[in-house]
Amino acid sequence: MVQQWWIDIRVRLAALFGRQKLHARTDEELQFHLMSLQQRLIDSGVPPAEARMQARRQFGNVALVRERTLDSWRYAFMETFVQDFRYSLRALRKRPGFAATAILTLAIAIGASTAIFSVFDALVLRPLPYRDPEQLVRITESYKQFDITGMQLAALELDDVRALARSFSHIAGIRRGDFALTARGAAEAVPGLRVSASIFPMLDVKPILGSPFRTEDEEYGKHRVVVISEGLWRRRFGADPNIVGTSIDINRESYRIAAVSRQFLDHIPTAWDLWVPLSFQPAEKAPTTRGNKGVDVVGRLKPGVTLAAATQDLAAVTSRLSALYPEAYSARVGFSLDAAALASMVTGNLRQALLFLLAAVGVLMLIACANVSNLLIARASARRKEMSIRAALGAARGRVVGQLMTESLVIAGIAGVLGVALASVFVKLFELHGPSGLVPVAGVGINAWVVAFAIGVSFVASIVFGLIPALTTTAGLNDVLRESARGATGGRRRFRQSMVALQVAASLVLLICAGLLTRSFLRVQQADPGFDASNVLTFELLLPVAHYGEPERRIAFYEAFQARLQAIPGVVSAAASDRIPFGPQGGQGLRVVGRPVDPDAPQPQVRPARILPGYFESLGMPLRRGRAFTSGDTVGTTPVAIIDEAAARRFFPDGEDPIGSQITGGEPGVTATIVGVVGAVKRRDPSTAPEMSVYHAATQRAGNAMTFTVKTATDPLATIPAIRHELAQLDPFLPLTRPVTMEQRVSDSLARQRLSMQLMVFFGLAALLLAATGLYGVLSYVVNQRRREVAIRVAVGAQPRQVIELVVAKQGLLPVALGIAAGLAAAMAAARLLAARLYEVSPIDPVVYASVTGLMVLTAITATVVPARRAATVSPVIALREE
Amino acid sequence: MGRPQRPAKDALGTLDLLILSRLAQGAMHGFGIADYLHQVSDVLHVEEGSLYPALHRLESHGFVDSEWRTSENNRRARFYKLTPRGRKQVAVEISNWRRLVEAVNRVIDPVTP
Repeated sequence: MVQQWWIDIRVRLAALFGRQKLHARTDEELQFHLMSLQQRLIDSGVPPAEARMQARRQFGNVALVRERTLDSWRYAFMETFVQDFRYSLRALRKRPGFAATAILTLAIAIGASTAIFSVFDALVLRPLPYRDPEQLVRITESYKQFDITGMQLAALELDDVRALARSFSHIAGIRRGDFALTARGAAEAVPGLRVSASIFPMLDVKPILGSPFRTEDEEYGKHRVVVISEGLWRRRFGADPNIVGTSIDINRESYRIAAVSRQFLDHIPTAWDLWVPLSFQPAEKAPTTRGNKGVDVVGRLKPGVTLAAATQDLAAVTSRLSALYPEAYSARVGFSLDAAALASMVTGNLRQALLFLLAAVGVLMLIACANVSNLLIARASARRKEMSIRAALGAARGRVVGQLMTESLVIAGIAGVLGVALASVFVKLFELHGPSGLVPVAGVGINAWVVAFAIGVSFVASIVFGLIPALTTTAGLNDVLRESARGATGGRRRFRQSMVALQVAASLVLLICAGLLTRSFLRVQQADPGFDASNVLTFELLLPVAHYGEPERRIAFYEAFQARLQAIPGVVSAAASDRIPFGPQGGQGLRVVGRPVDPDAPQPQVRPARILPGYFESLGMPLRRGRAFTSGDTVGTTPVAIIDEAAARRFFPDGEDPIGSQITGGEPGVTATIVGVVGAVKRRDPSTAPEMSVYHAATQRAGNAMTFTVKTATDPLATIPAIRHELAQLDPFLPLTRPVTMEQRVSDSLARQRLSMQLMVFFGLAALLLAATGLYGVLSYVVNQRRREVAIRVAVGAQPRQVIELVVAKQGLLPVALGIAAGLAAAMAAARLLAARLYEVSPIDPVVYASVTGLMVLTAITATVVPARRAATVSPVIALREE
Repeated sequence: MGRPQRPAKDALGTLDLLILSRLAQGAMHGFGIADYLHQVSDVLHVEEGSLYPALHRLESHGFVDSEWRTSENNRRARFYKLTPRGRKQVAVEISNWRRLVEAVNRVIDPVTP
């Protein structure tokens, strides 16, 4: 048996979308009828020509019949929806206040959800904007013995994997590089990547101009070709169409421009300005370099190959390598090659944070729906007479419910359109003013999926907030006229009160989560990083190998520049390190010479840094024992090292004096003597304990890149012009890269936490506001409904206080109290999910719970004041005469 | 509302009722229904075509459903049959009719000897 509802849906769809089919069907039906008439006439002996005429006469005007037949469908559709729709618009226009409140409330909630979803969509659902993204994997290695996973590969290992692995159609190495453009204009540091040529076919990158470099260009010596970004092409070369084939100077070497390309690999998330071939000097591929990791490797799986199969394939490569190079991959270290989806790397820990935010906007959405529900109920009781008249005139209850639901749909539809507009404003604002480098906003936007999400949310919302009011107001409609019912029925009053309780509970949950995140964030911000970040300017400097090949030249440059910096007025002290806190970090296994090493125990990892004398001073790091580096530590003197307290505790646990001990591993190939112990600093995250560090003297060994730390007496940014001037005096081709204050660096590391805290606070306050409006609405309504009762009470001598108690305490504060109780319980459960993201704050932190509850009570009282006063001042004469 | 009202969905005309009662006996195409109507009444005495707007309106209101089938003379024809709602409506209309007849009978009974 076919269900009636299914028939109804089919009919609606046919009337709506099946016009063409309906025309054809009608034509065929009428034709069949005519032919049958004609045939019957012919069979009864009428001549064919005559039969045709007679059949037509009997049938009537075919064109007219066809017209009227088709019309009956238009009418079916019209009656149910278009009519309701028109009527809804008219009803909304009649009460602009109601319409605006409901629509705005929903639009804000839909806008917030849609904005968060658009980020979720771009980062979690479609993180890689390439063909067949599920085929893209990241190849890393792990040393289980040392608890290291996700490590980059060495140059030789990249070659091995390319030669031995069979699951991949392409394998490419990627390495960040430091690039200074010195051609055409001032020296400029630009972000760029060294990549294998296979990256272009792997990701389907088609240049705008020219063609990408080829595998042959990876050979060292032939590697001076470059693909530049569209942005750099426009910005620096004025979109010159003949750019391909010309040369630019990068790090003082001449590179041929092979192509101009759109962005790719920007999920990291940086927009790159150039890509050069990943090439290695022969020395970088010496047999001893298998420990020098540093190449990110990505691959594309061959069609049909699963990740599991690739993992097995890599396991075979692992055992092959272990057999070939037993000294590099001894069985003890637990070496293996792993494959993981590239998408998971992009999404990373963002997924959870975004899911949490989505849940938060979901709660906000729920509160908004509850609010609109309440508004609808209040309005419906005003319209009950209208409804009952319609019912009396023969409208079925289902028909009236349909009408009310259409109104909800219209409200949600308008709110949805506004919400999408709001969401695109939110996204745009975030792009313009939000923290940069936090998420790759390039892919975030309002696309078809996001719009579909908004439509879905609006539709579901219209049912959520519309259905219960529609059902409760139409229940027992026929009684309304009969007994001019007064006051809300118990059912509806209870519904409204439970809506208030729900809103209070939901906003309490949001506010408590926001409160916990805020408190945790403040704690993190106040956490002592182990150094003094105030008034410190940092900037990076890269010495091109072409001109600073010899270590002595680099050291001489750094020392000369340091002397010039210190001479700038207002500079308190200036130094440099190749790895400063809250910048990129490295890791090395450290050991103390002369101590037995347990080959089976994990090798302790420390963070190495080469520093200039005066570095500790510039960052206010306390020297605990021994001495700091001096200019007397030179290439010719004994290599020296300083460890921090954390390392001292780990390596010299029995209170031994570390000074004078020798260590290896911190600086590859060097045995250094410890001359001092310095305070430990946090290097990446203010909310984790300091990691062990080891410092070597940059005056003894120095690399090509250094980050300077300049402590100033006043605003550190004000010294930038002077610093640029001094730099230009020493070498006019060197760009000053990324001048930012140390405080900014620390603050940037917290950007993500700050953003999710701010969003939560915003959602929480919005929820509070909505809950307050909801409470106010309910109480105003109750006061209105019970004016007569109150008036009688006042007339027989009730005091204002008693009236307020009657209206406010039972109607207003009871649901609030219930909501708070439920909200506290729910918040405790929700906060447990948050625990991992809290720093030094308990998920049931009493301060947060108490203050948020206090805020809620205060808000509730404020929302009840106006209706309560109105109740207390009811004039019995006026109120009773009204009826 | 100030605009011409369309007839309520559940108010059926005589033609509608006759169509539904024919379909209560089983599925049939428009030509067959017209034949039946000729036998039992003269509602179609002018134009057989006026059957189709009624059929389609009944379908658009969910009283009947239709599908292509092969007619007795092996041609494709659109067959109509009652839906659950149509079946219910026939029953309601018939009992309404009986009640009306009874009421009229009660009125005229006293005058007939």
